Amino acid sequence: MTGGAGELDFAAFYDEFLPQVYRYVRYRVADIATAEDLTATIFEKALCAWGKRRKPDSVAPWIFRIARNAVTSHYRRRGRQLEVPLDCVEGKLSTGSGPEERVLNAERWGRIYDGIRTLSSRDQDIIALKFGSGLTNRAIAPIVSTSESNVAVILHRAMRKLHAYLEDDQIPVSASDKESQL
Amino acid sequence: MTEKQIAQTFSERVDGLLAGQTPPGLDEAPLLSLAAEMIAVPAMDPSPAFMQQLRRQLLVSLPRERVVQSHRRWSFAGIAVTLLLALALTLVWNPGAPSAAEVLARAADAVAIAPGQITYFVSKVEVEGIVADNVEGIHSTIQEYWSRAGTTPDGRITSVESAGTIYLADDTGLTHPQIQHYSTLSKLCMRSLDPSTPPRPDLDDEGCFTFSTLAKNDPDPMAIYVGESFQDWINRMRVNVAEIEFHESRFNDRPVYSLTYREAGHQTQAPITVNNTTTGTIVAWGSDSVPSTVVTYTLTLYIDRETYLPAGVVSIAPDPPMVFTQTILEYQVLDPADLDFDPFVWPPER
Repeated sequence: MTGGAGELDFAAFYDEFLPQVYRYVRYRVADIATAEDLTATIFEKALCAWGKRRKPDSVAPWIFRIARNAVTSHYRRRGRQLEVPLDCVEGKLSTGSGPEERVLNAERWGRIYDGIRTLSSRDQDIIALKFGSGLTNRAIAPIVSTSESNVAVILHRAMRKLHAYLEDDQIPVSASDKESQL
Repeated sequence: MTEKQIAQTFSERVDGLLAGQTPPGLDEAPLLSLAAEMIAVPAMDPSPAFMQQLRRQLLVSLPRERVVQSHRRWSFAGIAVTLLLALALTLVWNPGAPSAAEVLARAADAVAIAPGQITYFVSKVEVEGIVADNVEGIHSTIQEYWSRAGTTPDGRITSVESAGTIYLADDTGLTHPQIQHYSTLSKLCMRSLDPSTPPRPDLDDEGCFTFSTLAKNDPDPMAIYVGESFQDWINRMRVNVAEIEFHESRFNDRPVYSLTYREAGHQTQAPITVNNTTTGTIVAWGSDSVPSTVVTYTLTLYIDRETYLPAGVVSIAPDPPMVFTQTILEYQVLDPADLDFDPFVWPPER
């Protein structure tokens, strides 16, 4: 949907954008409760602006800018404390079938999340908009006030940094593990 | 392949993954493999219960007439006029490389701020030169900065309040603040979050002192950003546009317009020291509020070629030799309603 806000009603707007916005927020904050609180705040702000008959040229950059500001505000209030991804600890992010696989998946995501949190705020935003919201670089560019090609470069560099972090973060393989791999 | 091409190819393959495609050789491409992992986390979706609950909550407060979609239908006459205008614009508009004056005008629009609005940016600041105890070196920090615009008695729009946080240069995630600062037109405040750094003796209980105190002392590290803003630099360059060196270049791997201007100005420089380590240097230009020396400096502004937002600034002062480089990582103009906190509260919550 790329139309102006005047051409669609709020309910349709909500149904279309809530999942994308929630996933962006979910990528930026550690736990489900905070993500739900922030998402509710974002859509309350959007509704308020909608009521004032603001008609932004394009609703997608508009709602994601509100979302970015909400995340910025959240971290500002929290003093940029590092957050423990509780949901990972609880295994709620797990996707495997067995308990062991679920724990491994949760641990793996915990490491990825830790790695993302070492990146700059803009890098985190672009990763969240790409992998969380599933946006194209063209859609991300106006949200983060840069060019489409620059989004590609920033994304690629951020992924390289994240990959390097995860490589450095590898738990050394014990002797018995090495034997079992052979 | 250039980095841009590699990055573009990577993005295209990620888009393919997002569309449900599995590219060949995924296991041998570590970045793409990592991307696939990050896409495959299903618990990122909102729960249906949350979606329904929030939907009900929001729509209950929505007046009925706003729920009902109102289609605006263009008349045939309107469409015809629009088409004619588009045709006319296509025929007469011949986009070429803009002039320095055009770039500065568009940059001024991009950073334009109304009284009450807030400028927010995150930047990497590097100072190369004699920065502390006659020692030459390079000192880098990451700085987060908020500035609220107001109006002076003569009607000029200026920053009436600013606040910020300084981080170590490698703290790109902005996780460990080193120094918090706040200033108004008459007051400067600073707090070090490093407990080993004793508070300055000349601060009041809130960590502040007034400019009258400052003027009596040596150049002081609390004079953070009492210098000029991007708006000031852009506006001064617009006035002196005939003296600008202008060309297209790259800065921080971004395509930019480069605008260079030389002029005499005040320079104040002082280190910020945390835990006996110089973590940054305060540089202020063009201000009479703090002691300073007059030097001829070269100021180069980098304006992003696509967004016309500031990409950075480099200032070179000859005596003492010093290069100040500020790379903008993020720049936004915000309405206070966009924020659900007040960044100008002093002392801030830790």
